[in-house]
Amino acid sequence: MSYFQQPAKIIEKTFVGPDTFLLDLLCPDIAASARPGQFVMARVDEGLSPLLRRPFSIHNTIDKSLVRLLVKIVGQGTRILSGLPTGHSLSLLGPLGHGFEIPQNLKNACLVAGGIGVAPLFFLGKALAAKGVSCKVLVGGQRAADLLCIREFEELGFEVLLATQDGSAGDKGMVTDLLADILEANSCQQVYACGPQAMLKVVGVMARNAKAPCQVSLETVMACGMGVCLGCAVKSVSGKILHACKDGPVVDADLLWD
Amino acid sequence: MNRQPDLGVTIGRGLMLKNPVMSASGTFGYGLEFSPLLDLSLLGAIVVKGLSLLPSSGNPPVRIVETPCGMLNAIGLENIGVEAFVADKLPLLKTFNTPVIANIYGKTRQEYAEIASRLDSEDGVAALEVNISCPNVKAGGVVFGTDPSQAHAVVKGVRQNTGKPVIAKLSPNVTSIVEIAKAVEDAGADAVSLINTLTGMAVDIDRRRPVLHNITGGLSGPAIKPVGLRMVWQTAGAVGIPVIGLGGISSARDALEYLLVGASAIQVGTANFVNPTACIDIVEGIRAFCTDNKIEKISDFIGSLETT
Ligand SMILES: Cc1cc2nc3c(=O)[nH]c(=O)nc-3n(C[C@H](O)[C@H](O)[C@H](O)COP(=O)(O)OP(=O)(O)OC[C@H]3O[C@@H](n4cnc5c(N)ncnc54)[C@H](O)[C@@H]3O)c2cc1C
Ligand SMILES: Cc1cc2nc3c(=O)[nH]c(=O)nc-3n(C[C@H](O)[C@H](O)[C@H](O)COP(=O)(O)O)c2cc1C
Ligand code: FES
Repeated sequence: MSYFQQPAKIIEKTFVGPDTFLLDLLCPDIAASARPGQFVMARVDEGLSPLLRRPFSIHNTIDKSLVRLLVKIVGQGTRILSGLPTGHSLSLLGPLGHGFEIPQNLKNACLVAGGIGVAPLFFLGKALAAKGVSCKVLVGGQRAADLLCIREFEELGFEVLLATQDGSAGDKGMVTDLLADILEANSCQQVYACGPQAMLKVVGVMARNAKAPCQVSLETVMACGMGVCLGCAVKSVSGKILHACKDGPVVDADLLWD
Repeated sequence: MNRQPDLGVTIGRGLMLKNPVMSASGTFGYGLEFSPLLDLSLLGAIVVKGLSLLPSSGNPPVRIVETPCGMLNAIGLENIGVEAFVADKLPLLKTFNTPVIANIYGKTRQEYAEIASRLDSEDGVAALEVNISCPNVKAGGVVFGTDPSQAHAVVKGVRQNTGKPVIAKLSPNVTSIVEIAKAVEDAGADAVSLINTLTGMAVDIDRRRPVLHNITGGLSGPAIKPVGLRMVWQTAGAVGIPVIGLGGISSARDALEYLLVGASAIQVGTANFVNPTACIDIVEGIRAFCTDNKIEKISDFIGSLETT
């Protein structure tokens, strides 16, 4: 596996919600070799604060030269990133990690996104669409404004189902309620999920009970992103330590939950 | 003047480095992870992740947290074990024409001695760095490196089991770093490296919980540089063996500060996470500084601090 460190110029920044934006970065080496589910480590500031790089999933690549990120502002680092002007360059390290696996002869799949968890799933969706896999996409969040990429998934020809906790869009309730119906109908060979840890666990357990293979993309704190600090440890059911940046971020749900 | 400055340094027992910049243990993996990003042969030396006799899985998560200009870690010395290192990493690592320094640790004096003896026959290992910042399980968890007599005993055991240069890596969590440094010098260490991380803590007031599973962790990064500099300066003035300085180095200027106060070489730790080419950027920066300031040999600059 190979990764690169390169200065990436901000080509475009587009807010898609009050606290969420798309960032297009020019970095051909990373863009050309990125696979769905992989991520980059971005140095949001050249100074000492914040010190560490921030991990972001690759949301899409364009013309093998641009890496697109979908970022939600949650703290200092993402706020700084949101304020960087086009034309500014920041250091990116990537593509990193083990991405999504697409089994041979996959006919249909279900993508489950919680909030900003849609970020890696769109890049995956693009790859699945290219292989002719038919997908249902379940997008969930607190309220309508949290639901992202709906049109983009529809443009890939996928059926998109929505759930919000306040009922402001789609079904009122959890995105996992939508998954229950799909698993029951036995209409899905593979589940892919990204979102909050609690949601992933519910998805993982549901998929297991329905005997559907499930891959989840994990988020942990990360210092290096390349397997050297050993800070991103996740305990698997066997007791073996997994490193989210190297063994993941995408792992089989069966490894994590009984 | 067009001559390239001479950056070579010697760290005891004939360990010659082409420049004074090494990677710090635990921040550079087993070295190979960085080979896609930089030319490993440009480093002065590569210090690998701390090795124990048997593989170790380390602490449960959460293991790291960012702090102002630094980070806390409680990895718990997860590593692949000395045998896997020798079989799977060393053969490729030794082809880079850069000395490989094995950082070792044990839970008993005997374990330290056994790893030393195991690595003594490996020609790909240039030196041993003995991490004495671990609790001695037999002495009820007293950290080897905080007690001069225990530090002495560990280093002596290693010394008796290897002909390779022995570097004792000192913990800053002590009242007198000089006392520990003298104890390990007396035990036969060829050099000392300092500092390891400073014990610290982070808590979450919303959840009323510690952030790290281990509750406490080791502080590293730019925040600790003033402490490291002070300790290196004190130690270099008190012992006769070379001192390797580290703690918060992220630029060539930081590295030069350590060399100025008396470090014969330096290590780069947390900065590798932020800037994976930090080590070679620092080598280049030191070279440029020497050229600009007409310093022919870096050894002329080392320890040249004037305090009066
Ligand atoms: C592999 C991976 C891929 C990711 N992909 C994306 C992405 O595509 N888009 C996106 O917006 N974010 C993504 N994240 C999360 C993103 O890295 C964090 O939101 C970011 O690091 C926060 O930085 P900050 O300085 O703004 O916040 P901080 O000031 O560091 O933290 C602010 C708050 O956010 C919480 N937080 C920090 N890091 C994380 C994290 N990793 N997961 C959950 N909560 C966290 C903190 O506990 C704190 O409460 C990803 C994380 C990982 C590990
Ligand atoms: C994640 C992490 C892991 C570390 N692991 C080791 C180790 O295995 N052995 C050791 O002697 N020091 C270890 N250290 C300490 C560093 O080698 C170094 O002494 C310390 O981080 C201070 O330098 P810095 O501020 O440049 O990082 C580790 C540090 C960090 C941040
Ligand atoms: S983030 Fe450093 S090992 Fe995974």
